[in-house]
Amino acid sequence: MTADFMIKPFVAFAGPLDQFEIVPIFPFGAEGLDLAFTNSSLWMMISVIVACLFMFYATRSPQLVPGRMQAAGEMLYQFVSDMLRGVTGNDGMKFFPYIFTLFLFILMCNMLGLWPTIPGLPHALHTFTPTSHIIVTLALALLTISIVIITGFAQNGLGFLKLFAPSGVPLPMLFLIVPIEIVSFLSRPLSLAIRLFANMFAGHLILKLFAGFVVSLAGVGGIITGLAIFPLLGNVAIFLLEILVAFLQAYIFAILSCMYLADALHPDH
Amino acid sequence: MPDKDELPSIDEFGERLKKARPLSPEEQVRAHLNEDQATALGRGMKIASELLAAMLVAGALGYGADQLFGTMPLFLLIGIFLGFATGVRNVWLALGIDRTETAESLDADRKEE
Repeated sequence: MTADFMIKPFVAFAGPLDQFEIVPIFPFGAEGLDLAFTNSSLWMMISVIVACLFMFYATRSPQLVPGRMQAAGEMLYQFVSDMLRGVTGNDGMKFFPYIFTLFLFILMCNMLGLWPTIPGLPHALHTFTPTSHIIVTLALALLTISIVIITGFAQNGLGFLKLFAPSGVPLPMLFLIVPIEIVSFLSRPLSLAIRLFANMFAGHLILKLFAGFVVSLAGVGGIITGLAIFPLLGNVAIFLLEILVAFLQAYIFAILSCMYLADALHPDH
Repeated sequence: MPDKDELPSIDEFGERLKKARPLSPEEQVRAHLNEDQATALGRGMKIASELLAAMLVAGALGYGADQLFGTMPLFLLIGIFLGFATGVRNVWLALGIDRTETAESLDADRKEE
């Protein structure tokens, strides 16, 4: 509230945090349970649709000599399958559909969130990055860790617990190492979620702040207006960096998921 | 050396071919992206998230145990210290400081002395 009050007199546009606001599109829910279809749901849906269209189009008419779309699709497939095989070995390939879906979904959410909003649209239809909310990334991370735990016990039975007691550790040290390993394991989904969320959140915040500088400086008039070019150039550079970060964070989320799955398959390393 | 004139074995040849060939574009991307060292922000975020997550989880577990047994603040304190220890270990691992690597460099240092 106070922040709003302080910012409003200086800038006549939406504050840098407004882009993260959840706006319901179709209100739904009862008994205190809010199940509204929001702008976050909308952009997740758009991400899924774009990803599906891309893959459908890439595999529509497979040629021996691939066209442009098919080559892009095959490259993506190759990239993810090499990553998974490299980390988990051949027996990890049964998780390929999951990892591929996860990677593509996060990539699309991150990338589509960078699209500029079409001017004049109502707030609910503004461009939105679902991965800039920790609830989304945490849900994805918890899904991964659930799969790890289920696979771990299904494949190794109680042998999965060897994960918490590395071999070659003297007995007295185990009293310290085992709690540390357990906490380390439990903190994985949280650290995975925080990393993706914080990167997307910080990136969008910086973009918006620099964009705010451009408008403020341009509005001053006189020679100072010319200075607006600097934050503008800075924003172009940051935007390019954000495209890299959007890809990188999807990659990191996917490869860390692969590493955790590798732990589940081979708990004794 | 008589075997100098002999043809190299397939394995040797493969090794040499691998060395001589430049990295494929895909391998270059992978080498470049290996770990999120690409941006300083990403690296900082990684370290912060590792430390924060471990402390939050261990602290929450300790708090839960205290609520359960009514021993406030015993387990909370143990949890926070445990979380800090775990966080430091995870940051250590996340920075890519391998245990064997450290041991080797320590050995090397000792030899130099």
